[in-house]
Amino acid sequence: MATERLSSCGSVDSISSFPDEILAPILSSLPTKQAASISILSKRWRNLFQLMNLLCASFYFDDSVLLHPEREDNALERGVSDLDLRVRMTYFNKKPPTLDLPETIYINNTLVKLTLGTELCLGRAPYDVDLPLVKSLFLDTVWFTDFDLGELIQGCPKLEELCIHHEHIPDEELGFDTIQPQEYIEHLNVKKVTIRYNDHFTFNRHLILNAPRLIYLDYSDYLTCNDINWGYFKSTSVFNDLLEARLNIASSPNGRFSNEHKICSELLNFICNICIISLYLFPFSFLCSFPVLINDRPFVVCGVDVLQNLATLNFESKNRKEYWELLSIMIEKSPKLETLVLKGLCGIGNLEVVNIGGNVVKVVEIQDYEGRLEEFNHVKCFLWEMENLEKMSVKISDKIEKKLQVTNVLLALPKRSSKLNKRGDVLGLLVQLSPPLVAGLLSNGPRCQARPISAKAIVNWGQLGRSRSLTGPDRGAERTTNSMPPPPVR
Amino acid sequence: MSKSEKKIVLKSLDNEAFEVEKAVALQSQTIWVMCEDKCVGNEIPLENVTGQILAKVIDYCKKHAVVDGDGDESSEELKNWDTEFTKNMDQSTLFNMILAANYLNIKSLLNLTCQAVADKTKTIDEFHTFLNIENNFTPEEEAQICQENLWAFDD
Repeated sequence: MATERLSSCGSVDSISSFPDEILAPILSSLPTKQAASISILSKRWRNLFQLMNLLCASFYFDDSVLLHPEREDNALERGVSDLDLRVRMTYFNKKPPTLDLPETIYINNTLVKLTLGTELCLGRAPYDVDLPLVKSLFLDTVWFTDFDLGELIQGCPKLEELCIHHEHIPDEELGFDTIQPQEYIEHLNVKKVTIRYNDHFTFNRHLILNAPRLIYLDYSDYLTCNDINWGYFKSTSVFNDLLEARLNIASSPNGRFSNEHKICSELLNFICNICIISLYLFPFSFLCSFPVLINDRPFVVCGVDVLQNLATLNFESKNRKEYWELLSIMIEKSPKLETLVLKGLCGIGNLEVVNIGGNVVKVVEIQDYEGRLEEFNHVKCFLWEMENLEKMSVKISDKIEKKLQVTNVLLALPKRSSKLNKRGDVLGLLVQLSPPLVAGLLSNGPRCQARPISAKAIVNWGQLGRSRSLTGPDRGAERTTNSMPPPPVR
Repeated sequence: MSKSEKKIVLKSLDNEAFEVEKAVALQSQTIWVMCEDKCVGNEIPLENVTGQILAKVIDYCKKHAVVDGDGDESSEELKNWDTEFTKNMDQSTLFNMILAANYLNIKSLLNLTCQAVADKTKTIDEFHTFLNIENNFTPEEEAQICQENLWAFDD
């Protein structure tokens, strides 16, 4: 027990020696803005504001200068258009306190962009939501105690962009793990939807997305539904306007069900009009170790008939035979596919599974090329089989040291497409190196043995590496082609 | 407990003794626990509280014990009494009250005194002067903190 003489209290800076447990309630008695500003008092007070959230479970915002309706400098009444309110309220697996927002947030005719997060319980759902001007709504792991977020989403009639993120919140107290990601998302006008559910713990949830005007969909989730009758991804309408989809679907690390193929084919059925697909088949980095396969066959096999309008396919996955199969099926089923970007799929020994001929693919980009025999064979195969190829871009992995050698070998490959061979203004084969690496290579002594001409060519590539964008035309590259030396024959 | 135990004696740091109704003293969770555990007799030594402060704490507890007991006074009146109670306290008394409320674990008193400190310090300058806090940041550090929490400093 502390026996410090209390008579000494009141001398210079006695309050700073108070324990955090006492300072925190003092802070929470202050308006929020002021409580945050005390971090400037002295080093002792530097981090107390953050601590206050932790120590005062009853911390409310309703006295905040920022939000309180009675204050004359109230931000919302001054006509704020962009409100970004992100507070992390979960600590140490404890049930978080609720943050009851004033009604002026839910009924407001100046807000255009509303962001609420992070891991934040908003208390009881508001009786009425009326946000007539809101165009962007970003919700990051927020929830109401009594209802889902549907009302909030519906309360924004002009909504164009919706992002819903959900992180699983581990809980050891109070059975609090019942918080599930939003399962029903409906909006008649929304054009861009991003859904990221990083939660493979809650099972048997499914997602119904009803957004007939959807143009862009970015969807990351775990397959957690094992009830085949529920379906997994549903929509009451096909997305007729959908142009681009980024799909990042993984089976739960906790185990697989037998109906993944149905689930995924349902998903793909809704996006069959799509122009750009980005598939990431080993998503959530290390979290997911199981790709989406059924009986070791890729899901698309049993899915979509034809991807009618698909023009760009970004395909990122592990280098496995099934994915090569999936890739060739997708190429085959996409009569208008022109651009193909591959990452991670670097090549397998058995080439028979890959059928990449007979299509209109014009641009192929291979990322992280490491120069192994299988990879080399695939590049060779692409160059030879794709008769309409106009541009082939190989990005050599930074791990490779002998970049010049690899480059020269690639440049020497035979090309089938007439456009690649004849027309000088179209880039034949672009091998990219980043500028610092080029510099390193050139100063790096005898191993490179760069002949002056090829060295010049590579420096030029380095320059365009800086300005080059994925989609933009590559004028610098064309110049390079003109000065490109004839590939050395090996 | 027998009726003879209805009163207990609280003894301050400077050996001042206060005889109070048990109901009054038991608003302190600390004293309540001590009595529950029967680890003390009828006289409870409070090593962290001076007589001057303890007298004030007992005033507060008496007031609140009465109200909670028979509900004669309205909550409005009680609020006014609370305001008056902290209004004229100087900084040093207030701090000692906070420490005492914390030590004795009387939640409502802790809230009241914390609020009183917050009420008396509206600006950063008031914080520095009223609370005697020395600014030990370098100007660079201070600018960085301002930058990090920009929303809190723009007026």
